[in-house]
This record gives sequence, C-alpha cells and structure tokens, in this order.
Amino acid sequence: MVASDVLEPTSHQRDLKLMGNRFEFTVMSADKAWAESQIDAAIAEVQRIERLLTTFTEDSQTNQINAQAGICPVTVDKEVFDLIQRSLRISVLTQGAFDITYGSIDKSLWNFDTQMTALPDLQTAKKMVRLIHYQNVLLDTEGVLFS
Amino acid sequence: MRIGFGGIGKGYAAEKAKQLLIQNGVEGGIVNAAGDLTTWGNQPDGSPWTIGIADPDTKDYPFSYLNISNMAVATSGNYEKFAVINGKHYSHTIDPKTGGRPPRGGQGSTSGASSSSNILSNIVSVGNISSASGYDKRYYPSVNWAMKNTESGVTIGANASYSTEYDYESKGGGLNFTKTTKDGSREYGVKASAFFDTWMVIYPVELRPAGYPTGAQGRKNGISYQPRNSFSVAFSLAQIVNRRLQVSAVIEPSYQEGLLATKYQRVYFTEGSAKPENLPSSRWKLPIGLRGSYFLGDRVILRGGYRFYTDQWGITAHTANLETAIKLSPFCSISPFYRVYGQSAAKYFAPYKAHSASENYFTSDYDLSKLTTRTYGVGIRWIPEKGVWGMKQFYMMELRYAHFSRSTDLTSDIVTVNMKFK
Repeated sequence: MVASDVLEPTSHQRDLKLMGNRFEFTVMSADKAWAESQIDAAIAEVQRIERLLTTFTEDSQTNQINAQAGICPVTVDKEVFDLIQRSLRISVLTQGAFDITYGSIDKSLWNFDTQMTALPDLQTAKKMVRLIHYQNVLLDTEGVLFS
Repeated sequence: MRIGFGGIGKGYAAEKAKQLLIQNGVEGGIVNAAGDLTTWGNQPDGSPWTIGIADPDTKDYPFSYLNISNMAVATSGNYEKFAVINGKHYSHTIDPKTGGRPPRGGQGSTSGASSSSNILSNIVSVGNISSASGYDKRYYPSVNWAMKNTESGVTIGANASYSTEYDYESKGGGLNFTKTTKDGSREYGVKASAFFDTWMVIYPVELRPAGYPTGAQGRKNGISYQPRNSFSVAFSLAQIVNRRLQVSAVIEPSYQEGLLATKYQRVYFTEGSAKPENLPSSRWKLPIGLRGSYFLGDRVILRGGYRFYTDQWGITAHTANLETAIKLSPFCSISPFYRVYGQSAAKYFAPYKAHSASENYFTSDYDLSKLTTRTYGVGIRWIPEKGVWGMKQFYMMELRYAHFSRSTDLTSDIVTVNMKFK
C-alpha cells in the first residue's frame, strides 16, 4: 500500500430541522459515503426519539401519558420511563426550577416565538401553573401514573 | 397536568445519536441540537473541538471559546428565542412557580460541561432557584465594662455581645472578677458567661418534611427556630514565679443545651437511607489549660502551653503549643509558632454509610471524628514610636501567616492582619 492510498479523515456535515430545532451533525471519516450513511443513521435515531417524546402528535408516549393524566397509569418504553425518572431527580435537585410537568403552559400561555404581542396577566399565569409539580408524577415499574 | 420534554428532550436525543455513532465506529464528531451539543474524538488535525459562544449583540461573532472534546455543552442564550412585548424582551425559559418568563435582563449565553448540561443551562437562566441563603452577613457588636480598685487589687467587669447571621442569632453576656495580690505576683480570676442562641432549622432538600419551608429569603414562613444555650464558668490562676518565669492555669467547665445537631447535615446509613444529623440535646465540657512564659534574656520570650479537654460525648483532646517571640528592635518583633492538636472521636460519629439506622444519635461531621491538626506559621508585630507610617493614632500593626493541616484531608493557609488605633 502506498501512502497516498491512506486518506486523511475529513469532516462531513449536514443540518436540518428536527424536534422543532436546527440539528447539525458532524462526522469525521475518510470515507464520504460511509460518513453520509452514518449521518442518516443519527438522524433516524433523533426522529425515533422525537416520535416518542413529541407533544405535537397524539400517539407519542408523552401525549398518551397526558391523555390519561389522573385517569389511569400508562405503560411506556423503558427509555421514556428512565428519562422521566431522570427528569424528576433533576427537579428534586433544583427544587422545581426544572420541571417536566410544565405542559399546561407550554403552548397555551407562552410560545417560543416572536408572534406574541401581549403578556399573559399574572392571575392567569398563576392559575395555569397550579398543576405544575413534579411530585405529581408517580412512577412504578409497571408504568407511569398521573395523580 | 401535562408533561413535556422541552428542557431535556433535544439534549437527550443528541446524546443518543452520539452513542449510536460511536457504536458504529465513527471516531470523532459533533451533534449540535440548537446549542445543546455533544462531541467525541478530535478534529481532523488532531486538535480538540472548541466551541465559540456567540456574542449576544453580534450573533455571528464568537464571544469566547471553550475546549469541549468529549463533553456536552448547552447554551441557553436569551437572544435567539424570545418574544418582544411592549419593547421588552422575554426569553424562552419559564419560571414554573409563577408561570412567568424572566425578562431579558443581563444578556448572556450560559454553558455547562457535563453529559446532561442542557438542563443545567436552562435552569441557570431561570435564575431564582431558592438556595438556603443567597447572601450572608454577620454582625457582632459587643460592649465591655471594667472597673479596677487599685487599693484592693480587685477588678470587676461585665460584657454583652450580640451576633447575627443568616440562620443564627446569639446573645451573650458575662461577668468577671479578678483579684491581684499586693505584691502583684499572683492573680485569681472567675469569669461566668452565658449565651442564648437561636438557630433557624434548615433541612437538606430531600429530607425536608412535607410543607416545611426552604428557609430561603421570603420562604421562611412556618420555619422552626430552636434555642441553643451555653453556660460556662472559668477559674484562673496566674503566678509570677520569678523574674523570668510566669505560669497560669485555667479550668472552664461548661454546659450546652438545646439544638446541638446541625440539621442541614445529612447522615447516610449502612442500608443507603439518609436522615438529618441528630445529636443529644445537652453536653458537658471540661477544658483545663496550663501556660508558661519564659523570658530568655531581653530579646526572646518562649511561650508554651498544654490543654486537656474532655466532654460528655466521648471526645478527649490534647493540645500543645509553642511560640517564640523574638524582639528585633524595641518596635518590632517576630514570632514563629507551632501547635499540635489531637482528639478522639465522639461516640456518635461514623463516616458515610457506616451508621446503623437503628441508632438514636448519629453524625458524620468530621469535626467530631478522631483527628490530628498541626498549625505552624509566623507573626510580625510592629509598634513604631511615632505610629505606623508616622500616623500617631495607628499605633500597632501585626501580620500573621499560618499553615493549618488536619488529618481528615483539610489544609488551609491563613493570613491575618491586626491593626490597633488609639
């Protein structure tokens, strides 16, 4: 083998919108085709997680949990269960500054954009956060239950 | 109630994508999920990945760089996702307690470096997390009064003190009496002191009883205040043995009652559970000290001391110290010193996960463990005739450096400046 056959690795990049955000993948490889296939695999992985977690489709595990909140436990994938468990631990550590139960205000009270023209009034804001509390998420190894 | 993974989802997805690529054999790369990014390996030239954090004012120009190989970084700038309402910027983080979004005050992009840093960054920007104390200041005024009768050699005195800091308040008072013999060679003394303290009880977050306040500013409603009272009487005797030697002895029995445990200290038990520290509500202490000073010529003073201490909790301690004061000139002296201290452990002490949950009293505070400390250093004292730097009012200045080390892996260096004004 001659030295010129050994290609130096270079970076291969792609960016696209996933999970409502701009994702950018950079992969180091001497083989462009292989690098591109790896980026495809990474995108598929992110899309898989997006399907599990999104609140924008009815059949995501997040929305199945939300639909059954206060009604009955929902069985979820171990991955989602673990992520909820990790989120709750972070809530404990941060005394609730981080809290995944913010879903009630996510789209209705505040939106992540520049379209908003008025602030929600304090009373409405207070009323809408009353259901936010990470301690209301109950986990057991059988499934996820909302009280 | 509804849940959402807005604060954690994309960072998690980026991490999972990275794991998949590593598993597939990709040697280096970056997954950047709108600012929550994670890296592995190195750049093509072998140098580590670096991140440029955008200047909030000029987005395309990096504000600073950070070396981020094999790390996750999250940025949570308030300059990209925001709403403008009535001319005010509101950023994308929501305070779950009020439903409000922090207005864009000080601009900034924050960054952390760990495998789950996007959460950290989002929390940092909420910014009003209640910690036990956001600030602490200690005030401690004291007043002293003394009256000496030169004829009888009797001095009586009184003092009162007050000290306050965030979670602790102390009120103290004392009376003292000393009598010097006619020839001035002997002095007897008795000093009685009492302290009436109040301690705000703060618990570690996960051990806090339901509904109990955190103790943070504005979150003290319903918090428990516990007393801690201390009483002591010191008996002393000082004797001038001869021109060169002086000795003194002090014995100071004391008693403490009230909340003696530090409730915000956790104790972990053998089977993994945890509770706040718990200690008996009273404690007798008995220190006995002996000191001697020997004047070696006109320029050198040797000072030595020994102290014995024992208490009801099973601690027995010995202290020895030696200090030499060398007068360099009538206005300046230098004094090297050495001190060694050793104590046995309190019977309630055990390290992390060594206590049994069935015990009544338990602490893992290493101040109560078996330990040895050594301190050495030097002090320089300067009392110029015309005042320090020629200022008459400023008549003494002392600078002291000490190196302290403790067998439980604590070392410190202490510099003290002492100034006296007339």
